[in-house]
This record gives sequence, structure tokens and C-alpha cells, in this order.
Amino acid sequence: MSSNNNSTTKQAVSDGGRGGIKFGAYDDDDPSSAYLTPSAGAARGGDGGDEMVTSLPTLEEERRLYADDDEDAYNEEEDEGRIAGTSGGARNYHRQAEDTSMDSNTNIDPFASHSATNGSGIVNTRISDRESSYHARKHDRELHPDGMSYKEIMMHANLDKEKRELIEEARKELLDEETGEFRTRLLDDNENAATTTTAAAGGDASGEKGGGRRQRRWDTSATKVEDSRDGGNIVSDTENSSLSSKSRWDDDSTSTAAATAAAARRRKRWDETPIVASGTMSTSDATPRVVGGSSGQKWDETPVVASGGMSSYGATPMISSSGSAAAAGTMGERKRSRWDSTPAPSAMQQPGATPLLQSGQQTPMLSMMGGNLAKALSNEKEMERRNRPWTLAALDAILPSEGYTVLPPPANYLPLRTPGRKLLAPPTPYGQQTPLGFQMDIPPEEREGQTIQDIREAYGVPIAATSQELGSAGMGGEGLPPSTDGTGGALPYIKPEDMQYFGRLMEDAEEARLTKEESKERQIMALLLKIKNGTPPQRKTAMRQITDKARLFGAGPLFHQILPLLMSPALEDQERHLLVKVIDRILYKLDDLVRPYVHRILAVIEPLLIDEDYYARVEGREIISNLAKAAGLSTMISTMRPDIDNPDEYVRNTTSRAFAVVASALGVPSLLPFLKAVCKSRKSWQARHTGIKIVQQIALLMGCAVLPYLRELVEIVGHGLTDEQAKVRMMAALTVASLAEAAHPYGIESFDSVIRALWKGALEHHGKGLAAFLKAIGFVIPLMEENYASHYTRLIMPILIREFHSPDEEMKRIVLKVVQQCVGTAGVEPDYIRKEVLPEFFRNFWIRRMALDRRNYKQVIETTEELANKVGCSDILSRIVDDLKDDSEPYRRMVMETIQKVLENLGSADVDDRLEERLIDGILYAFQEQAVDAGTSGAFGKEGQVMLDGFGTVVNALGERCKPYLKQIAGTIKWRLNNKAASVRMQAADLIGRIAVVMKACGEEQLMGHLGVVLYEYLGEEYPDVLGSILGALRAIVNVIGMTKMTPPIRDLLPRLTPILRNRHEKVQENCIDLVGRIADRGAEFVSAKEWMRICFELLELLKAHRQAIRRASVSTFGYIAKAIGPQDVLHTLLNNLKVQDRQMRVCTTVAIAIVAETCGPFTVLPALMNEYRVPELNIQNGVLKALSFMFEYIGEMGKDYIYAVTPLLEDALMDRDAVHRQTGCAAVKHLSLGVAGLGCEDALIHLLNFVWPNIFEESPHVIQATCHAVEGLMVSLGPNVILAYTVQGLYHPARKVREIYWKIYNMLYIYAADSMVMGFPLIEDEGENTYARTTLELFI
Amino acid sequence: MSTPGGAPIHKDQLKAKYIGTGDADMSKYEWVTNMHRDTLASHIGHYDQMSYYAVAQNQSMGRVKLEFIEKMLQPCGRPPMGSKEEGKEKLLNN
Repeated sequence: MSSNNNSTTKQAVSDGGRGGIKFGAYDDDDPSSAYLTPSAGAARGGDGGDEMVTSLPTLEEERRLYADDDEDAYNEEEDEGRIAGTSGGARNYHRQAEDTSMDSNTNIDPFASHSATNGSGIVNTRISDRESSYHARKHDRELHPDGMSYKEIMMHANLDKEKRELIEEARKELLDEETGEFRTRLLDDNENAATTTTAAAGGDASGEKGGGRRQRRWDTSATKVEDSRDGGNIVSDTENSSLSSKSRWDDDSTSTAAATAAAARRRKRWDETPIVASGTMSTSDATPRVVGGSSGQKWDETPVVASGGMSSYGATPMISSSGSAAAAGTMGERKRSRWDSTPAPSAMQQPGATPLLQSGQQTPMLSMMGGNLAKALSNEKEMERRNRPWTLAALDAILPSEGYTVLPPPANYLPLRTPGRKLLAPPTPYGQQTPLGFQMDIPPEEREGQTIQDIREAYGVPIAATSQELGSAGMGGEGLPPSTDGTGGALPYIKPEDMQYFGRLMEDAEEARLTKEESKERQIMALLLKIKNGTPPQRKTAMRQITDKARLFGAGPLFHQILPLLMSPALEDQERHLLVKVIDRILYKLDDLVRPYVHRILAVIEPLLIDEDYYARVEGREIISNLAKAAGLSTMISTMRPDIDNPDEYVRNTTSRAFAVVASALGVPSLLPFLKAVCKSRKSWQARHTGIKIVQQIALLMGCAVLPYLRELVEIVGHGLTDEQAKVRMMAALTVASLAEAAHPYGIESFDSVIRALWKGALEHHGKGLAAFLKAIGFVIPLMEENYASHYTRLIMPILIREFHSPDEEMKRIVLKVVQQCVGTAGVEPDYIRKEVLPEFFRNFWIRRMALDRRNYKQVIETTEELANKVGCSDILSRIVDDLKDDSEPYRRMVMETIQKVLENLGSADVDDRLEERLIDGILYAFQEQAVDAGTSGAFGKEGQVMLDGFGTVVNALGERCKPYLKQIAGTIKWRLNNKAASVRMQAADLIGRIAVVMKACGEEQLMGHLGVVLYEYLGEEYPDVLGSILGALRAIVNVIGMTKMTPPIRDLLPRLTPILRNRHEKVQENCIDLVGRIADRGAEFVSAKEWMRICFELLELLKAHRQAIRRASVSTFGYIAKAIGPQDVLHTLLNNLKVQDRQMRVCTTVAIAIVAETCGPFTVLPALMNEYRVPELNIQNGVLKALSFMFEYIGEMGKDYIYAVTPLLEDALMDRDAVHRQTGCAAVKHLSLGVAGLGCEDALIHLLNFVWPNIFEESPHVIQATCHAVEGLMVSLGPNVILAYTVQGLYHPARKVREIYWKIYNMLYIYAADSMVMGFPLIEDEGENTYARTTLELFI
Repeated sequence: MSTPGGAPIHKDQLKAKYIGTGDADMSKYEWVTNMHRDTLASHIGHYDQMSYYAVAQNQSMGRVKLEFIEKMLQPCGRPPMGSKEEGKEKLLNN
């Protein structure tokens, strides 16, 4: 993947502005491909070099069609790698990693080979590397420029559409006439057109001087075209071939592409006449010439440089240009000359980078990747020749002498902004006015007298020189950007790829000389850098600052910097998450200020909605929903409306998802009129398709929340079922399916209007169309009443049975699903199923091949389960049980899983003796014949689990009927326990755990005892996973047969377990502690107190376990042990443990103490505990307080007996200088007061309140929170009015800090107990004309 | 600040949800007005209290209720002119 990237980069640079031309050609292809059926598209994509581009969207189409279209299904598909090639770099990378790990023994650093080429760790976290090319289409997204009204945008969209249609027609004509030569001819034409429009653009730029107004449409007078064409030929100076043969539409078909090219050219030409640049655009002026003239190869290898160079092309000052450069028909290029805006420089660098990367992937260059080196070289040479720099002499020659002046650069012109660009700057600055113009520079590393740092700086690599290098080179390093802008703290390291965004932070800037805008921009840049690459504290502060200052910075400057970062090709997961978080935060603050940026934000965020990562999708939804709330419905609609009939499927797909999010955020009803209109659009089927898709996405997103609008939504999509476009019909059917699924089991009346259309569709269509309609019917039938459902099932069943034979896998899956749904409805008779469906069903689907594809496998099982629910267990079982002895293991597993499900649902009541025998025989065979995977170590995967679960379920379902077979089963288990493969031993041990209960029920205690002894002997097992399972099996046996009957006896078993407690493996720990706890609970008397103490010591270690279940089990085991041998010794151990350093250990110890106190009575523990408080050591005292806190929490009401005893201790704690003392003391007071509420301890509680109260002025959040909780607890036990009396004192204190906390407490009281406070409010004297007395309270009878 | 469920709640949301809550800048008039409204609402909400007031005033419960509800509009009379601004300034100066 990365090599791919490099090559595209290389191409992008050498290709220069011409990339756009190819793009035009590609985009012309696109609409035509949209008309093709998916398979045809794929076939077409397969033949040419552009396979990557065309084939993937069609697969995507397919996926959307046939997958359940919910995200899980999507992920699964990704997992199974069905979309070959879309899975992208991640998987590639893993493969790579495996490869490299093979020969890693020769390496010195074993991880060096594992660390990813991109990203910051062993796994490649760079998002762009694992993107499928479909996902990467986000970079092609075309954006309309700022300042266009909705009307204008729509007008241009319509014009574009007309244009596309014309081209399409013309293309068809052409195709008819000369089918063979059509393609070559068109390509030629495109190239010509490019020059023409270059000319046109040139004319535009010259504006008033040139006098030639630019032509907008193809219906222009010929003279003008000629006019501008001439100019263009001169400027482009490349391929002014025979233009006369050019057909009219070509001009516009490639106009954008050409315009882009033109922009680049134009700039190259005009920049040397600085009047055009007018001082604002210094940075971009510098670069393009170099790129134009660069011979390329050397620089291309450094990606930073390449991207820096490319940035110049995107000089249209917005992200939108990323689209405009790439895709056809951007109005911006025509509408607005880029010169008349003052672009934000950083924002303009980025966007150009991406489209050119994209452009590099286009067809012409693929031949080069194909390995045709000679051709590639000649290509490159030609590029160089074409893009060679302009000399003044040449310009003099080709430009009219009149009307042009050579102007000096503006006074405020700064030739260089960043070291990253220095490389690409003209080697001879304008200041010197070298008359010869540009010449190829000597690459920096070959110049004389260069220091390392100079070279690095020239290449924009921000690594500080090491001291050694400094020593040798004798110079000062300046790698990390200096702290600037009062944002505080040193800035984090800037990655080379990020230099184009953050490069400017590297220069020293004097605050005073920056304009306000510039300093703002720098501040934002610094904050973003800290958020993106900084340490967590840096990030946190920066995040807060950027949120607080969001309105100050303004939406424009913020988004100009954030959005390009999000589109950066070097973006990583974590960075994306953080940047998205930034957007989320500032959206809240900016509120309606975001309106002008909605489209750009959407263009960046929408791709998240189809991300592979679930959390990215959730984040995307959240942002869009917040955006919708901030910008309002009308803005959202007018912004997204033009995308609805965008020619690019990708844009429509993401837009529909975004619209669904908007609908769920702002309410479906408000969007209904719009959806209704869109779905009825006559102009374009794309709009209808997208509109219907929006409804589908709403259904998927909102689930049963669509019910209130179900009728409207169904009506909106209803007529799509009879649309003349096949795609619209299919989408409508799928949408009906989604709506029905979301509405299940309600809302059948809403579907009345579409049932006829669905039914007709199912009769009329074939292939994929039929599949969609069947799916819809399948989801609607379960909503129906019994008799209707039965009726429709009978009607649909012949079609389904016909399609049983379909070779199409997707069709099979849908048919299975529909059968499942039909059979599941109440009105369908079992006899009908038995006679009509079962024979065909088993003949077609219970075959080995179905077990091979995971999705088929799952669907067959589910459908069979449903059939069994209808016709009964034995009917199904008798048909498949003999297949348990089939040769194919996957097939056996499928049978096993089905049997398991069926028996789980229906039990084994109607399994007769013969079937029972066959069943047991089958499962034993299948169990024994499992393939042993992965050698001797490691666990069985899912496969083993299926067998295990199946076996367990069958045995449990048969219950006592298993008795005759148990001996045989136990024999198998014993034999497998002795197996060489660890996974086999583990599975056998696990199986004992599953069937222990049945063995007991069959009265096979002797057998169990025997198994117990066998397991006991295997306790020396060395594989921890197996050991864990053995312990689990032992526990199951102990649980079932009890402590007294257990063999080996408990007194032998437990000492054997003590050392195992030391095992660090979690599974072992968990099972072991469970077993030990069980014994301590039920059979503590079988073991000596000494042994228990030993176990206590081992348990202390387990308090450190990572897994909560283990800690919890060990803490409660302390309770059992304390109960068994008395609390003294245990308590002693625990109190000693309070001295340790490890905090988690201490916390768990306090919990254990509290539990001991609970099980043995607080009086057994409290004296020793309170005595321990006298030790003058912070940790111990805090531990004691915490233990008290837990104890009071656990003992609840019992606390009333101890409150007077502990009050002096709590007094002391609440007065301690240490804040943690007071905090923990407050926690104890809270639990204490809640426990004793209503038990008459008010005196002590008020006393405690007096100690708690001063802590309300604490600053530390933990302490203040604990204090507030204590006050809340006291409020419950003392009544709110007592606290109110305290609170009223400070509500109007002169100091704001005091008032604030008092009001906070007041509010707390008010929220909890407003009503009871009525009697507690203070009496307030009247004041002036206001009567403050509450006279009603003074009434009495 | 947190709700009874323990979920944190923002100041503005808090005020929107519990109108009677206050903050450090609340004037005396506002506070007492809230107090009065809470008191009247509490009276209206407790049947026994309503019957008590009805008997004490020798009026029907419906009328007493109406009076109370109407009184909740401006229980303490009109707000003092400019008091809030003055009070704020004073506080700021302090």
C-alpha cells in the first residue's frame, strides 16, 4: 500500500497540472457506468487499468443491495474479506508482518520488523493506508465554493447535469457511428479540450486587459472560442494540435479538468507578473514554478517535499478545491478567479495535496505501475519537457508587447514562509531579479558547505540535530518549534507529514509584527498541534482553550485549519478521534456561526459514517447530529440538497446516511415534506434513489422510533416500487424491508398501500430485482395477522421453492431468510410445511457446500431452527442426525449446531429411543473426529466451542435418559484428557463441567468421584488454559456432589490448590479462587485453620489481579475464611496489609476488612480497626477510614449501634490537615448517616455535620465531592431544614466564592426536597412596596 | 451539580429543569419570589393544607386555590426597579 502511495505521489508531482485532464476523462466515463448493471460494470472494470476505480463501487452497490445493510453485516463482510481488495492495507499489513516475522531471527531488534511503516506503533494506524478505494473517494468530493447561494448552487448543479446528459447522448451517437475508434478519438478530444479551456481560463485571468470574456457554455459564438483558443495555445505551449476537428461538447466536458490544469499553468505564467498576486499569495507563487520545472525524481522520494510541492496546486483557498481539482464541473473555477480572494494560506496548502494524489492513480499512470518501465520513463521525460519552466525570453516571445508590464514584487511580499517550502522556492529570490529566471537548483545535499541542519531544514525535516552532529557541524539545532503565542509550554514534535500544516510554527515570529488574523491563526495552529500530537496534559489544556476561545477565533479560521487536517493522507486513528472531538466541542460553542461551513464539515465528516470502525461511525453521527442542531433544518437541507443527485454514487451514499442522522436529530416529521418531494423528483432517478435510501437509513438508524411516521414513510417510498429505473425499484423494496424490520411487530396497516406493488414486483422481476422484492415481502409477512400471513406464505412459497435452485449465493440467503420469516408466522400450518417445504429445503440446502460459507451456514441453521419450531424436533433431527457422521467436518459442525439450537428450543421429549441412540452415537463420533488444530498448544477456536456446546446441550436435554451412555462418554473424556494436544485436554475438561449436573441426576456419583480423582491427578498440568479448565471441572463436580462425598477428600484437595493460587494466569486464578471460595464457604471444617491462613496470604496477592471478578471472588473468600476460622487472624493479616505501598492492594484490603466486619459482626473488627488508626501513618489511617466507610455501607442500619463509638475517630479525621483524611471521613459519614436515617441518632449526626460543614470550602474536586455527598447523606438523615438553616447563612455572603458553594448546596436541597423546605424558609421582612412575608403560614384556626 | 440520579447537570439545564434553583447572582427579590411560589405550590399540592386554609378564611377550596394560583404571578409585588443591576454593580465593586 505504501509503495503504491509513493508511486502516486511521484506521479502527481511529475504529472503536474495535467492530472486534471485525465480526471475529466474519467468522470465522463462515470455516468455511463452508473447505468450499467453492477456485474457489467465489474466486467468492464476488469479489463482495463482502471479496475480499482470502477469495480469497487459496483461491489459496493452489490453489498448495499444484498447485505442486510445494517452495519454488522457490513463488518462481517469486511471480516470475511468478501470485498476483495477493499479491505485495504490493514490486512495487507498483517500479511506483511507475518512474512517479515518469518525471517526476523536474523534481525537484531525483533520488533523493528514488526513496527509498521506508517503510524506510530506495531500496527499501522494510518487511516489512509487501510482505506478501500471506495472510502478514498472522499478525496474526490467536489465542493461548491464559499459565498454561493443555494439558488446558484442548484443552478450550477442543473447545468452540470444537463451537460452530462448531453455528453452522454453525444457519446452514444459516437458509439453508434464508429464503435471501434470511439475511445481513442474521445481521448484526443479531451486533450484538445484541455488546451482550449486553458486558453479560456487564460483569457479570464487577463480579464480587462485581455478583453476576451470567458465562455461559460458550449453554445457560444465560434469567434470567441477561436479567440481564447489562440491565447491558450500560446500559453500552454504544448499541444496546440489540430483544434478544428474538435466537437463542441468536448470543450465543456473537460472544462474543469482543463480549468484545473489551466489554473496551474496560468499561475505559473502569471506569478512572475506579481501584479496578479498582489502581495497576498506569496507562498503559492513561489512553489508552482518549481514543480512545473522540477525534473522530479530526487525530490519525489521525500514525501514531505512532494506534498509540499503539490500543495501549490490546490491554491484555490479552500478545501473545496480538493474536489474541484479532482472532479469535473466545478463552478468555482469558472465562477471566481482565485486571485480575488484572500486565502488562508494554511488551508490552501492542504487540499491540493489530495486530489493530485488521487489524480496519480488514474488510468494513464497505471500502465506505468504495470511495470512498463520504458514507457513510464518516456512519459516522465515528456512531462518534464512539457512542464519545463518559463524563461523571460520565452514569455517575451509569446506575450503581446502591449498591455503587459513587468511589475516589481509588492513591498510586503515574503518569499518564504516555512522551511518546508524552502526547498520548492525559486532558488533566486525576486529581490535579486535574476534576469535568467528559473534554473534547476542543485539539490541541497550536493551543495557545498551545507550542514546537516541546513539540509534537513531544506527538506523540511524537523529533527533537531543531535549533540554529536552539532559538535561536528558546529551549529545550533532548532528542531522543535519554539513556544509561541502565549499558548504556553513547548510545542510537541511535528511529524514530517504534518509540516505542511504546522510548518509555520517553526519560524520565529514577533508578536508585534503579526496582524491580528495571523496571530489568531498561529494560536489555533499551536493549539491544534498540541491536541493532535501533544502529551495528554497538553492536549487537555489545548482542548479546553480551543473550546473556550472558539467564538473568539471564529468559525472560519478554525475550520480552515481543522478540516484540511482531517483530510490529510497521513492521519491516524487517534488523531482523527481527537480532531473530531475538537469539532464536536467547538460546534457547541459556535452554534449558528457554523452555518457557512456546514457543507465543508459534512464533506469531511460524512466519510466517517461509512467507516469500518464502529466508533468512528458513532462519532460521525454525533457530529452531524450536533451540526444539524446548531445549523438548523433549513441550512442542512439547502446544503445537502445538491448532493442528493450528485453523479457520484459515493457522495449520494454518504449524503443519504447523513440525512438520516439529521432526521433523527431534528425529528422525522420536519423532514417528511422534503423527503416526499425528493422521492417524487422527475428530473433525475438519482434523486429518487437517494431519497428512498434516506428513508431506508432512517429506518436502520432509528429502529422502532419510526413507528409514528411509518405510514408517511411507506407512502413516500411506495411509488418507487413501480419506478422505471431498476435501481430505484430495488432500493424501494429494500427500504420497505428495512421499514418493516424496524416496525416489527407493529404497523402492518401502514404497509397496506405497498403490498400489491410488492406482490406484483415479486411476480414480474427476476434475478436481483426479485431478491429485493422477496426480501421486502419476507419482512412484511411477519407483521400480518395469522390468516393473511398464511395466505401470503402459500402464495409466495412456490416462488421461493423455485428459487431454492438459484445458483446465486445472495439469492439463496435471501430465500432462506424469507422462508424463516414466513414459517415463523402463526398462521402457517405444520403439515403444509412438512409436505411442501421440507423435502425441497433439505434437498437444496442440507448439502456440504452450504457449510463452507459462513453466512450461508448461519442462515441455514437459523432457518432450520425456525422450521423445527414449527414442525417439531424429531422431524428435523431424524433428517439430519445421521449427517453427524458425515465426512466433511464443517458440515458436521453445521449439523451439531442445528441440533444444539433445536434441542435448546424444544427439548428432547419427542425424541424416541431409536433417534436417541443415533443422536448419542452421532455426537460421540463428531466429538471424537474433530480435527486437532494448531498443534499442542492454544485453545480450540469457535469450532471446538460448537462441538462442546452441542455435546453439552444434547446431554443436558436428554437428562436421565443419558444414563446408559454415560460410561461411554466418560471413557471418551478420560481418553481425551490424556491426549497430547492441549486443546483436546481442555475441551475434555470443559465437557466435564457441562455434564456434571446430568451425571449427578443419573446417580453416577461413583463415576464422578472417579473423574474427580482423574482431574486431581492432572492438576500438575502445565498449560494454564488447560489447568483453568481442569479446575473448572473440579469445581463443577464439587458443586454437584458436595464437600463430604467429594473424592479426593477436600483435605487433600485444598492443600494442592494453595500453590496454584500463585499462578499468574487469569483463567487459572479465576477458576482456582472460585473453587477455593466454594470450599471455604461450604466445607471449611475439612481443612485446618493453618491451611486457611496460608491461603489468606496467597489471597492477598490476588487482590492485585487485573480482573475484577478475581478481586471480587478473593475479597468474598476472605469473608468465608474469617467466618470459618474467626476474624482475628484474618484481620491481623489484613491490617498488616494496609501498610503496603500499592494503592489498589490497600483499597481491596479495606474492602476485605469491611466484608469480614459484615460477616463476623462489626464488634469483632471495630476495636482492632480503631486501634490501628492510632498508628501515625497516612496510608494506614486512610485505610482504616476507608474500611469504616465500606463497613458502614455494608452494615446499613446496624450502624446505629456503632455511631457513638466511631464519632470521636471521625471527628479527628474530619479535622485532619490531610485532605484525603477529610475526604474519606466524609465518605464514611455519608454511608453512616444514610444507614442510620430515622433511627434517632440525630445528636451524633449534627455533631458530625459540624465537622463536615467547613469542608465545603475545599478546592480539590474529590474532597468537595465527598463533602457534598456527606451533606446529602446528612440531609436524608437530619431532614433538609437542618441543612437549610446552615445554608441560609451564606447565600448572600459578600464573597462570591462563598455564595457559590452555598447556592450549590441550596440547589441540591431544592432538587431533593423542595416541598419540605417550605416550612424551613427564613422569615424575611418586607421591603418598600414588596411584601416578603408569607402570610398564609400565619393563618390559624 | 448533579441530579438525584447522580448524573452531572449543567447550570443552565439545571435552571431549566428546576426553576427554583438559584445562583450566586440571585437578587433577594427573585429568591423570595421563588420561595413564595414554592410555598403556594406546596399549599395547593397538599389537600389537607388547602382544606385548612379554606376553613380559616371561610371560603371554598376552589376559590382559595384560585387566589393562590393568581398570587403566584407576582407574589411579592412588582420587582424593584433596577435592583438587579444595582445589586450586581455593588457586588462587582465589592
